[in-house]
Amino acid sequence: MISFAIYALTIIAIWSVMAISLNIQFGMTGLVNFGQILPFAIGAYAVGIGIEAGIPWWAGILAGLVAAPLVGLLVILPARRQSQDYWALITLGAGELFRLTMLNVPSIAGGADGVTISRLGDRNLALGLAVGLLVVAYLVGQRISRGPLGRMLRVIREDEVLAATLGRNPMAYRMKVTVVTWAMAAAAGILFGYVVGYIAPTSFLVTDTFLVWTAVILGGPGRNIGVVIGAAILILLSVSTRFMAEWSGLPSDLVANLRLAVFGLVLVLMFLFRPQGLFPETREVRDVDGR
Amino acid sequence: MKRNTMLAAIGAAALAMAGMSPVMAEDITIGVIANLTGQDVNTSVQMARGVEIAADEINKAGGIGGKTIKLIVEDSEYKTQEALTAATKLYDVDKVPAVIMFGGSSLMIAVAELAKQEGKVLINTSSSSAKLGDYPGTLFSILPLDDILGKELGKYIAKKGIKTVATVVPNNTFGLGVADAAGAAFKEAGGKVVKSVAYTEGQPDYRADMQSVVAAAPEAIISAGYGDDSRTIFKNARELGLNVPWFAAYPSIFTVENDAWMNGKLSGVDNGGYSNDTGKAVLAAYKAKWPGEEPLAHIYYGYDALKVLAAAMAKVGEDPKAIAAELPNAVKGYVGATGAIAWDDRGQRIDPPLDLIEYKDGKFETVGTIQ
Amino acid sequence: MLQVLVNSIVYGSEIAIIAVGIALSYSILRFANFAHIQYAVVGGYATYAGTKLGLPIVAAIAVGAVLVGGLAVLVDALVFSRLRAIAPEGKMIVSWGVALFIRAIIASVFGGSAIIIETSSSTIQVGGAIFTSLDLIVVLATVGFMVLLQLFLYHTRHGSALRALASNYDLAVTRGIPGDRMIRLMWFVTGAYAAIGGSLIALETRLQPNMDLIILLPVFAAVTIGGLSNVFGAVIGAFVLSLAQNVVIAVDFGSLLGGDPWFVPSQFRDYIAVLAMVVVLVLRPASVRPANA
Repeated sequence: MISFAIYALTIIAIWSVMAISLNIQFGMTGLVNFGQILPFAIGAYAVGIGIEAGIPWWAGILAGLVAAPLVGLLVILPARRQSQDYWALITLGAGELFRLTMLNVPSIAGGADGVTISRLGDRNLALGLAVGLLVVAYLVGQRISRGPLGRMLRVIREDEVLAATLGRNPMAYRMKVTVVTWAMAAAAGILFGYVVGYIAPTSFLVTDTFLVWTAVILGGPGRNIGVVIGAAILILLSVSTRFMAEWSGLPSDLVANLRLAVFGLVLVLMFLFRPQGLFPETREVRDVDGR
Repeated sequence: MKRNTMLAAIGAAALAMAGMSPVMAEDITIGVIANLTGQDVNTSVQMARGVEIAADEINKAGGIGGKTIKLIVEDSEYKTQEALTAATKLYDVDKVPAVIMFGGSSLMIAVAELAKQEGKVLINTSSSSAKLGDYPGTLFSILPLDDILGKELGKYIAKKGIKTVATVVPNNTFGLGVADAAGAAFKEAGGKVVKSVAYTEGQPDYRADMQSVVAAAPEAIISAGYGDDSRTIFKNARELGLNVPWFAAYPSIFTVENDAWMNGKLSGVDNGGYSNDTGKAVLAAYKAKWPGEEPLAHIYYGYDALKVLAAAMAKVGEDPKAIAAELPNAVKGYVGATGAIAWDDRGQRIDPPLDLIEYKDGKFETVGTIQ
Repeated sequence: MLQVLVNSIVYGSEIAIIAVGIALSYSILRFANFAHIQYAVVGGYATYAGTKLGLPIVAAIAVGAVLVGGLAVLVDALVFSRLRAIAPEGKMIVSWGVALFIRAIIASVFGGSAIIIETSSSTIQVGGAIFTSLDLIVVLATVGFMVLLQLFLYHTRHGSALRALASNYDLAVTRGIPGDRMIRLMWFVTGAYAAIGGSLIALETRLQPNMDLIILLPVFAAVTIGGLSNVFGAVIGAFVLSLAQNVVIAVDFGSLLGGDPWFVPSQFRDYIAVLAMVVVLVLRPASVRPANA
């Protein structure tokens, strides 16, 4: 039982980091990234490709942490010209292009077959690293949220023109956010690779992006602690339904499908009845310099 | 707050269920991991049903040393993380000594790593990556490696006097493994592969893929694949007038779309066990339990997986280490629904009985055996 | 090459009839509805259920179209209508939740395995190109329904009202057009069209609950190429995309460049769709004025 709990906590911590990353992008800055899985996949694949190429483990990790923000800067560029719903489709496409490349070009990272990563055998170490990463991500998220940067991001989110009239360049802020959050998501992806020990295209689907979105919407966009709890609820829901399936005696495929139905329902009901999430962002009235 | 409510609900459900749970101390629990949602659902369900047939049979005959087998089936969603969640639960919470699993190598290898670390047993019924040989004493494959069968397929086609082929396989380890092995053997015998198609699984339409094969004008096609996709492929090929023979690895797991068109056109190398007495008994049990539902060959692999596992457990009990040590002995003399089983020292199945089969008048006929 | 054209037209037809619904709802509500593609899948299953109950196929499709039209109106009444004021991207996320829910319910009811609707079709050969009678029906049905939509939008009062709402919603409402009622009509039409498209795909191939995830990208690519809010642009987008996908795979790039024959592997079809979508979105005229100009 104990190692199952440790494993579940590790997975929760990893997806919480993803939720914080998306929260800074969407909750604070208003960036609608439907390709949130992309930096995660880049991080994981950097490690996998690094192992295939025989470079030292730290070099693979470094490559992931550098590559993801660079790709992010490329993806954010069209946000200068296109409104957020168009940009969302661009990010969705970017994530899929990466996945389809990995799937269809086996010489890069094994195609559909994927690549093996030497797994972190020690469960406690894996949990320690995941929680450590979560704490760092949370502190970064809080620092951004509480600091002058966070206040400026919220101004951009609410009124881009106002931000510009204040003499700030919204695009420069968005690029900063992208660099930080994509590196964060890449770190989660790297750890994911080492925890599951296997990298294949099926781990990086559009549906995974929406899992993170559900966590953020559930917890409350804008609040870091909220989205962490949101991610925790989702993973616990997913894990606990496995036990319910067994106890209920219903056919396992029926329960598996009903579990996904609950996810959809949670997303819709939150939007309808509690759009601010379980843990709403507290609105502050201040001027842009924090006085 | 909501989380507390939910946990409370789960706790209440747990307490309520614990009282009437059918699990008893004298049960032996065995885990099954299959993708019940996502892709390849049908084949996966078929394998799980094969395991179920074996469990029913064993329990009816008195179980293992008087204990009843209880199966716990978990969903992998065809995702590595979920497969690991399922496996961690089975090994750690349900304390099963062994898991029977259906899934691609991206799931199988991750679970094999875990099983090795936990000192447990994993029986593979579906994946055929060469990397699976890295887990001797942990992982045992019921499905033979593709290279054995692929090689025989390539030689067989060359012997038919065919000079050019196209390969049409799913873009996964199984498909590419068959295409590589069969293509290499065919080339060695002097043939030429004029087109290689690795199609994306689950597409609604393969017209463009098949069109590219038509354009290459091969004399025959080398193929592999699963039910639903193969049906669409055949349909598109027929509609595009691609009237050449199909040579397949495991033709019996294909779903034939049009009996008349396919008559005499489809042949290939398949496992030679299904037609023996055990195979026939499994088929009869399937038809009795799920009347009206079309069975696929995966039921035989699921069935054999549990049968050999049970044979080992009958001798040495529930200690996973002892089971792993006993398994290679347990299969000696066992003739299952997929024929006699022999493992090399890496737990990979070798020397499977291979038959040449042909599709005639709505069913497959055995036309020869490969020695 | 004629065959490539035929293949493109058939695939384009399958995509087009679904794509128009997304464009229609986008034009009026600025709402890229992910659930729309799931409506198509529900339509396919409704047709399947209808044939199982003994209805002839055409009747089954018609009943399915009405039911799914009703479903689209119902979903709007329960969910989307309460969220008219939120940002377009918020609507997209909600529609994802709706799609996930419907997909899981379909899988619970019908199972996750693929389902086949049995049809009989004959092969037709025209000048070296081969297609089936079913292909012909699919293409003719698509053309027919497009003409019907054209007549509806441009030659009826309701159609004009919808177009007025699309070009300027507030103005149209102040001029006395009943906005809410027209939106319900719009949902019914898009739902019915999705169901017809989904049924045609089901007849041509098969049904599975996650079919929406497979056709999502080609359909959105088609709508995007057509300009998102342009109904007939979406049709053209579907055919342009389909042609591009088929031609890129059929062309011998190796020989063109003077080397050994080399073709783009056929599994890159999806890749071409996604790439087309991204490129069109990046290159399209700016939708916001750069605030930092």
